[in-house]
Amino acid sequence: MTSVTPWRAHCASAGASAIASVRATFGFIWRRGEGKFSLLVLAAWIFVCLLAVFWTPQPLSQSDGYNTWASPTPAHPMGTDGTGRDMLSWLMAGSGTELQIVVATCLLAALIGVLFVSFSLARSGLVSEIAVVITDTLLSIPIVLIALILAVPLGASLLVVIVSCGLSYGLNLARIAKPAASLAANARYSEASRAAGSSRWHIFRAHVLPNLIPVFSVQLSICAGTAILAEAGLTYLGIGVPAGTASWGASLSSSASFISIFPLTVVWPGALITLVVVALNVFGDCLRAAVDPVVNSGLRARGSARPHAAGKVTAGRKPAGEAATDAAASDEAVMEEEVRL
Amino acid sequence: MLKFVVRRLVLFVVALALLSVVVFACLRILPGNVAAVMAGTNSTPERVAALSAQMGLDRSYPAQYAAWMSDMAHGNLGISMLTGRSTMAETWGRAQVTLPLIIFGLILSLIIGVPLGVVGATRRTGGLHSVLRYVSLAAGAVPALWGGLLLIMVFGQGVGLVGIFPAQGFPDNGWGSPGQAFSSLILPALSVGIISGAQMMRYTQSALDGVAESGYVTMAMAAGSTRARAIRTTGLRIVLPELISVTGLSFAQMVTGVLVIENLFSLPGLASMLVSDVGNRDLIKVQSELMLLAAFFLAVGLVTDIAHRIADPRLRAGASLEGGVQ
Repeated sequence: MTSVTPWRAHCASAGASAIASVRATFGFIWRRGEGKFSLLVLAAWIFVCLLAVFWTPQPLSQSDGYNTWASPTPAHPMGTDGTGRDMLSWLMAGSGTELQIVVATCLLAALIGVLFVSFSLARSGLVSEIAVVITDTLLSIPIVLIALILAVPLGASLLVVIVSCGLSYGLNLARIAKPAASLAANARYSEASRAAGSSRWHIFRAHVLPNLIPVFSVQLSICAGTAILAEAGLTYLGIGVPAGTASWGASLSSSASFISIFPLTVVWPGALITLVVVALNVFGDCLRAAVDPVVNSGLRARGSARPHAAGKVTAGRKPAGEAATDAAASDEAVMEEEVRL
Repeated sequence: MLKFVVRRLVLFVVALALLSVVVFACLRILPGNVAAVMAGTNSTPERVAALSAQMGLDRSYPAQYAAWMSDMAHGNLGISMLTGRSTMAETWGRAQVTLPLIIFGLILSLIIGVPLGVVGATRRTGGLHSVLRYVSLAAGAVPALWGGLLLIMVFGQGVGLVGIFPAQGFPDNGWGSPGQAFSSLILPALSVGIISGAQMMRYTQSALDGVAESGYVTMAMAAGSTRARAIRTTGLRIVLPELISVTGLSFAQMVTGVLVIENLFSLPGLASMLVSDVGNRDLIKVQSELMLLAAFFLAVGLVTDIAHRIADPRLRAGASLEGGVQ
């Protein structure tokens, strides 16, 4: 399995195969009707973010005092809010805030996920025990409670949303990715590498991490949707995005109090959030199929090595101390792999 | 089994200790000291000094932490610096609205989610399957705030199209008038229940889909059962432990939505108290109530894990095997 090609050539081919498998993955998603929908919505979202940096239909600072709570008109296609600000412009500006939150949350979650997965594979029993304590018990602490704790020193800020969501999803990610990681760490190729004298760190980087990419990418696209929902909730509670910053949650909250008088205004931000979150979830679903070589023949044809288990949506929470069962399951899978080889 | 429970209890205590340090630290890294923040911006240094002596904040951090822990262990959660009432009494009063709402919402989400998930898993093709899929995708993506608003617009008294349920508020005498109290929880519980039910449905279906490909269902079919029936009886029993875990986890996940919904429906629950205490910098109270809630959710996690263990005979066998080896 270890190739004898020179290192440089090996890297080049690895790069090419990575691009090929990304192309195969996205091609697969694009060919599905649902996948096309999700890719289009996400592309439109990113486009609007970029657009809003340079141009919005009305300047954000402009408030039309004579036209508060206006119904949709050509000047204000989505109407105005209680201070006469143009709803469309604020939603466009909010999409950038939302993208920042999502990207930062996903990066933090991925970082924490990788960190805790590596801890759980650590040689030292104490380190892996501590990792288990943290992932399995802190998971039952609601995001809003973490956010409240953080809001005491930080006040309402983007950081509260990002850290509370990133921490919570990161721990969840570590728990979900652990079986795939221990599977890869105990697989034949890791064993061969170990026998050839590779360090544990090298094995983790070269053999375990690539196997985590599918689980991580699927779970992170779902996390992204949840982060948008959490932002809306936390902002409404006053511990999310600070007042004056444009965000979808802020637009939704500001119109929520006047629902009985101006019901139409509240439709837009809510519908927008729902649309994007659905797109992210559908994208995650399609990605799950797309990274599975059994389903996606594009990956198989290129013979790119793909991991054993793509992250399942559910993976109910496993109680601490179930490591024995996990290990047994991975043994079984390793055996299966041997049979196939 | 006993070994597992003991181990899990130890984890519980360790996590609690860890959290208490985090909460304590978060309240001490405030710019300026706690007493100065609580006394307000234009208070004299003497007033700040008096306040910090009164609250014991002039001691060293380890001493403060130790005193706080020993108070907590004795069930003394301190008093609010604003209202002078005991934290325990205030939190308990508020929890009498929040807890029933969470439980009510959870029951609704199970009633909605599990049967629909079973239908989704037994009908693999056809219109119903895709309709259910789209409904669950959309309902699971609705922000709780918006879902609640839409329900008010449809069912709220005085506002909605068919005003049959109270849109806001809670009876003044609380559960003293049970009928009124219950009916004012219906719309809030529906809002959380539907959103969480959509996720519950996806979990149930995905878990059952996994089992449907396993030997268990094939075996049941070989014994003469239809596929649908095999999934309903054998399949559900097999995924039961997983569903218990997911339910426990939803309990924590629902909380953000529940607090939002409480505020929206002006229910006198934990949300308004927590947010205003954080805003008012009633720090000694915040410290104790956050810890109390954290302990509560950790306990829910503990109970869930043990229930998962009891519901899964395979793990019980595994545990005894482990014991046998030693």
